[in-house]
Amino acid sequence: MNNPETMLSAYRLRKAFGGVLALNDVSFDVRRNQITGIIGPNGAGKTTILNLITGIYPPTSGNILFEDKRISGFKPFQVASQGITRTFQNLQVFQNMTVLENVMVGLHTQTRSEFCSCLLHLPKVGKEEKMVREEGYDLLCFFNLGKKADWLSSDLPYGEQKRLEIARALAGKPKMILLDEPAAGLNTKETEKISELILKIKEKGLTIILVEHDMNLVMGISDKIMVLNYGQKISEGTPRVVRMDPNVIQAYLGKE
Amino acid sequence: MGLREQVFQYIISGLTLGAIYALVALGFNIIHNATGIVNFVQAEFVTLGGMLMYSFYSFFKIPLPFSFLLSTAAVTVIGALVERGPIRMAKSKAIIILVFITIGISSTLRGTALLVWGPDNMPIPSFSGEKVIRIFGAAILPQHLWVFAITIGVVIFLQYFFYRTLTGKAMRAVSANRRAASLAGINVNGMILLSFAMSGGLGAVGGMIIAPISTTSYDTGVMLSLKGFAAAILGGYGNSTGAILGGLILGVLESLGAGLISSKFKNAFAFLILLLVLFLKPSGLLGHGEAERV
Amino acid sequence: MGRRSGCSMVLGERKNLFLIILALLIILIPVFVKNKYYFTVMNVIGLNTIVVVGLNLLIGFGGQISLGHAAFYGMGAYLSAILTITHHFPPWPTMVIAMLATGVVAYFVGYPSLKLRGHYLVMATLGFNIIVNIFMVELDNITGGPSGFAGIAPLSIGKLTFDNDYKNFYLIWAFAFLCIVVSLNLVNSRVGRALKAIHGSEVAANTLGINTDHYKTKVFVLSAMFASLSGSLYAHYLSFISPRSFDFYYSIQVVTMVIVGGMGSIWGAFFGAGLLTVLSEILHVAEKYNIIAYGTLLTLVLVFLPEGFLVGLYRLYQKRKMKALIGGNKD
Repeated sequence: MNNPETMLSAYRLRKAFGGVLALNDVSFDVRRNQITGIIGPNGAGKTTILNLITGIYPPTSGNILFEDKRISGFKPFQVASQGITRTFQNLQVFQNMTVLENVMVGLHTQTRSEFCSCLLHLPKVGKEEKMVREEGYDLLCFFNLGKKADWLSSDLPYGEQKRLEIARALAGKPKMILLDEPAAGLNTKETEKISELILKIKEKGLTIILVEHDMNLVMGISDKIMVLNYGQKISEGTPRVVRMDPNVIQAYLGKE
Repeated sequence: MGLREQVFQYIISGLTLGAIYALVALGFNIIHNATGIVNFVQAEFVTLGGMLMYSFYSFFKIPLPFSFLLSTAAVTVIGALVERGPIRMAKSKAIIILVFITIGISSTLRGTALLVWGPDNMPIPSFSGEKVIRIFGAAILPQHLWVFAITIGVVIFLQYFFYRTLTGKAMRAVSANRRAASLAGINVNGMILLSFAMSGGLGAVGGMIIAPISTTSYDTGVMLSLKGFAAAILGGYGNSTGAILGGLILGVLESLGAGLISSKFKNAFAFLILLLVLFLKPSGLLGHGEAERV
Repeated sequence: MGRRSGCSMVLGERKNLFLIILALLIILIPVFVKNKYYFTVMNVIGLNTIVVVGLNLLIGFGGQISLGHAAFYGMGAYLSAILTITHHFPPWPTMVIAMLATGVVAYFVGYPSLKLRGHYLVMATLGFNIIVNIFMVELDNITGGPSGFAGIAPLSIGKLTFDNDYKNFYLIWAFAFLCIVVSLNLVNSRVGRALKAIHGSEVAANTLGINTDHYKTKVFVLSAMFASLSGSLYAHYLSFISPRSFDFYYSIQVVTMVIVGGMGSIWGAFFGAGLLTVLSEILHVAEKYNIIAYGTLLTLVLVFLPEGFLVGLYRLYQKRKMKALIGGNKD
């Protein structure tokens, strides 16, 4: 990988689940500080790509390079320490913890205290706790969740839980964030807010991969879009190019 | 008895016990496949099978074959009640809680058995007498043959049930993918109820056929079912052929170990094997790895 | 209007207050209570509390089930007994050695089991418990076999020997207090949050940089070490140990204590240990009722109050209050 503008590159990714081939020789690049959208009909393999990048399972074959480092085959926690975090299609907010605590967990990679120090509550632990609590709270305020910091996260309305998940993913100061259907289940107004939020995240310098079904959202904010169907890449380019691509139109309309 | 005859004897008794482990393992698998729960009440299904048969026969003077059937029916109902009652009523559906609930129910039933029957061993007569049959120098009791025959019968029945009947196929569908099964119109709750009932029946049969050989008491089922579980893991958890294979192999290894190495550590063998399997090949002999979809 | 998570709602920031109250109780009870029997019971509660608090870290925070903690409890007891009496080791370092040895064994049992998806730790620990118990009985020239191991000397610091119930009360409860403090520290820290996160969503925790396999294993090892510590104290206190105290029925009892007290609540663990130890004592009169009582209690609490006795009742009470309010405003 030579181009310094390329943050992540995937080469000939394949993923088989038993007899089912979820991804078939997919290659792509993600450019630094850009929003790369991934779209495609259900089952096309979009979430599979995110799962491969974040190490939920290893690829059957193929490579993933992140800033020139091979991360395919890494465990998820190792991927996180490289600077990649994510949200989940089926919302994996920690329901058993408060809103603030969720974000504090997000700061795990920024802190060091281990079992022994925590058991003994050494002074450095106290200092770290204070830092984590303050930073977490600041982040919640940025996401307009500050007032509900002590709420049990399962008591938040759905849209706010989705925001919380994004806040948590950002807490660890990642270089790249993967958003898996952040607008799923949201109404138009909430989707607009998510759209603004994602742009604000981009302004902060992050690189974003966005998997989404909401066409307005994806077309509206992506710098580049990749289209998948049946585990293969069928189109790639700017939103305008992709929108006109007959392959894409057929993949979506041909279904009906 | 020469070494060869001794080994053969151990193998026979190992296969006998192994058949029971296999039945128990099948019971565990059925519930785990349908619900993901490790069912600790299995132990009491085994115990109650033998104890109820004893009561029906000795107390109510019901002839042995009918006691057998009655006891199977009774424990099947108990299995169903366990599911319909505490499991279904549980406020939390988290697997860890449900597993704990089965631990609680198991203790409750065991405590009840202790109060009803006391701590002593209950003798149960062999199904068809005690005349020893000699094969290759080893002594085989008619009861051993009953164990084999009934186990084979049960296994054939299960094969037929799961692969040839609609209900059986429905249960397999629920194990494979619960949501899809329910969308296809299968009554998932009913299948779960059935899985508990069947496990009850299987456990009871297992407990009854071995009872004449090894007597039965309020906590007989505990060891038997734990080893049955070890057999299930050995064979590959969730896999029915694995359960049978695992049970037989475990029984034989345990018997040979106790006979040839040391009888003091007999009970430890099964669990040592369990730990070894978990550490070396957790998917067991015939199992495949579990994938998790996110 | 939002709700705060279970136990922090009940006891949250007031934890220091409760610690002070507990410390005062520990110091003052022996001044006012003189009945030897009560001390025995309270000492057993103390020993159980140490085990249960550690186990709660595993179950309530790590989200894992162990049915083998009796084995770790027993390892602490037997190692202390054997090393100090048969091999004349000094008792205090032996306690530490026992904890470390138990920790190492727990690591080898726990790590492979915890790497697997699903509840394999239950079975591995159960199997382990049974094996250890069998070894306790059969290796009789080392362990004294089924008749047990007698003549364990009491602990002492300099001239002070802990040789009666009264002195052991202070010893045991000093350790119990320490364990509670240390557990509270852990729970309210980065590690505690990571454990709760694993419990909440293991996959999400992983993607946030938490090495879940290691965390689960470490908390398992820690809980085993707590049990070992308690076992050593038990041995020196009662001066006699036998395999029957360390079978998997005890494992079920301590798990019941965790559940009834409330998974994920340190104070709940203490409450569960207290309540159920007392219950056991009451039932000692009719010992055959012990099993059914435990079983029924465990089942009922799990079915209707899965968050634990205290938290469950508190929530029921809150719901009633809410209903009353809403009912009143209906028109």
